[in-house]
Amino acid sequence: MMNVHQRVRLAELLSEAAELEHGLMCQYLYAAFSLKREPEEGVTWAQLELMRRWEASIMLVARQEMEHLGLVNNMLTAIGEAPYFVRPNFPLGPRHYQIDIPFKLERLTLDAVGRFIEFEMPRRPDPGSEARMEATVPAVKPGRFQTIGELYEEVVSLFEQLDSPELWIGPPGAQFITTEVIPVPIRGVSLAGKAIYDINLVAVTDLASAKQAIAQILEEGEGIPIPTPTSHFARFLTIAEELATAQHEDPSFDPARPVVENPRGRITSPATREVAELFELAYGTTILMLMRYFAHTDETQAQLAALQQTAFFPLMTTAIRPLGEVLTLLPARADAPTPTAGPTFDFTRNLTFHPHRRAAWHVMLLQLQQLAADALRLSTEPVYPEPVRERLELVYENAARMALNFSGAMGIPVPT
Amino acid sequence: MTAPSPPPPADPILLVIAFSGWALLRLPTDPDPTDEPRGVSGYTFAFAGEPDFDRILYLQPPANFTPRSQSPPLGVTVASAVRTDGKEVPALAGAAVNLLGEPMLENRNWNLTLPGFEPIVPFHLQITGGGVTIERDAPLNPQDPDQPVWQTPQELLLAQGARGMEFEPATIGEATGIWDSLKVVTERLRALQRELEHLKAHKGDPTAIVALEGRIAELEFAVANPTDRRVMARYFVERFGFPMTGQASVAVDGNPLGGTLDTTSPWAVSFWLGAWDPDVLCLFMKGALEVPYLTVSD
Repeated sequence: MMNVHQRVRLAELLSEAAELEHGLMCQYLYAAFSLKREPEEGVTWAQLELMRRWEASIMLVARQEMEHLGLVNNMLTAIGEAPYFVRPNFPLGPRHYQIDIPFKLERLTLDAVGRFIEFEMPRRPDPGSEARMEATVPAVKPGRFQTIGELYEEVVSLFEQLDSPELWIGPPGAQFITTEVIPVPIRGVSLAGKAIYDINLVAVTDLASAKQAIAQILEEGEGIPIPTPTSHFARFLTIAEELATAQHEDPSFDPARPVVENPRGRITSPATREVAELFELAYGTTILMLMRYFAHTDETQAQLAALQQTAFFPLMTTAIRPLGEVLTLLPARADAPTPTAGPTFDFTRNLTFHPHRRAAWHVMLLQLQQLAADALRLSTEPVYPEPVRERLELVYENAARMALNFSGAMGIPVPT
Repeated sequence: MTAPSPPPPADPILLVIAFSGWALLRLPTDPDPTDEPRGVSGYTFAFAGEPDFDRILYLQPPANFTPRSQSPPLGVTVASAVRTDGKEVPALAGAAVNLLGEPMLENRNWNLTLPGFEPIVPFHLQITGGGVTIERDAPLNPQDPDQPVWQTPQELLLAQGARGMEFEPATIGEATGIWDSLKVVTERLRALQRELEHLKAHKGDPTAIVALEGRIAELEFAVANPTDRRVMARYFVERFGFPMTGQASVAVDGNPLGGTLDTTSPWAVSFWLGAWDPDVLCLFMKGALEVPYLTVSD
């Protein structure tokens, strides 16, 4: 008979892993959004080229954190548990998780990158990496507290102990793979089993596939068991080295805008607050859709596709990212141009699984419509600089189109 | 006894204008947002000193624009113009083919269409040369030509959109001579490395050096990852084909077309875009426009 206490522990650990991956993603996005983008912001072309590569690297890591979140949710549904998208708001003290590192939203600095290295650091880094850390971020010490890899090691151990038909009771049809969440429609070349946009979501249906998914998470994140230059750990270490070198050559070099740390409650400019709320609406709507997508009940394939075609592309790319970037250009306070704001990634209490299918769709549609209406209103406000208004106008057009598409696919008339 | 029926009218003679050439398209690529100005997460970038992306499909080189080194000669031109009765129309040979306005491939991060099915908006074709200017618009929604693309019904977007991304190395090879994309990328990398050495040796423009280093970094990634989009994209085509029913005009000096073109019946355009070169942000276009004659002369 199954050890139910162990099973509960497994579900709890997987939920914690989901929360961690989700929280890491938000912090990485926040740092990426903070980066300066033009020479007029006080950086040289050579520095901008470096920063372009850092931003690309951080965004790739953030996408893979989303992939890890998806993989963990595949594991949860494989054992009959609910997908887990909930997370606490920022900031979080170091003792909130056993990894003992604070969770906070901060702009990209050497200290921030050092913290990211700590997140992704394996228990025993290879000697070369350890020497590089000592030279660049000496405060980062390996082996202090539990690593994320060790959390997953406990998950693997529990999977092995509990492995039986009684464990794998989730419906295989509830699993999602890359080509379902990013269905690139090319013909003549198979993308099956390949990463798309660096994302490789695989199904979990038994012990072997669960261990394979965890091995993928650890290889991509910590670069274990074999260190790779593309692991998140190695990427952040490279960024730290390049940033330290660039600042040694030019002590005035600051790659990030003066973005406020942990913006929750610190955005007092009414105009900026409205854009921050717009971001929160977009983020919240995405979360609602992801919850429904991963925990779908009796949706048809077409209805699942409608959720997918809204929540991934385009909500993440045409609303969340532009609004996150725009916020770092706007003053957090009404009485001073700096610091600038950033997205709070606030998680409100209503962000929970909506169990009644049609009502859930209705709520999502209403939120998409509100997103469009608010973006349209803000795009005409002269208080915002012209480039910000242009981006808000495109957010409006895209949100309005999403609402139209979603309404048509779900058979819910667009409310007036 | 009834009189015999008159024979059906003969199909009108058509003017078939075949065109081809390299076009410029400076745009961000997925998963970057549509309005990303310089490229971050995709595989196309505006490098140091270059203007922001404008997403416009230029069939002719834009004014005051310096193409990147190693770019192919830009410009889509008429390769042949022949009537369907076999008579050639030499006046149009070499004429410039252009899309007026600010034409863009519109899928908006998959919000309007899936990638590979996007329309070009606006689509206002102009062919000019040899004393002839032929123009016609093809609005997505003929009933509402000014309807914004993001409000246009899905079926109209798809009617004028591409028919999918097809892996067609033979089509690309025959049209451009590019049969081995990895070889192109590898040779490009060597050429840019030589340019960089030269620039550095002659104390060249520091911004140009940074831009070259950026291109080289992307090409090095491509060579190390031969299945990446930076390599494979050259083998794909997107095919378009639709009737053009908007405003048309034909301006001529004399009778260079061997007759009068019909500006009220639909015209037909079909073409493909492919051989996408993400390093120089160019792609190849090949196709034809078919225009019926109202009257023909010998």
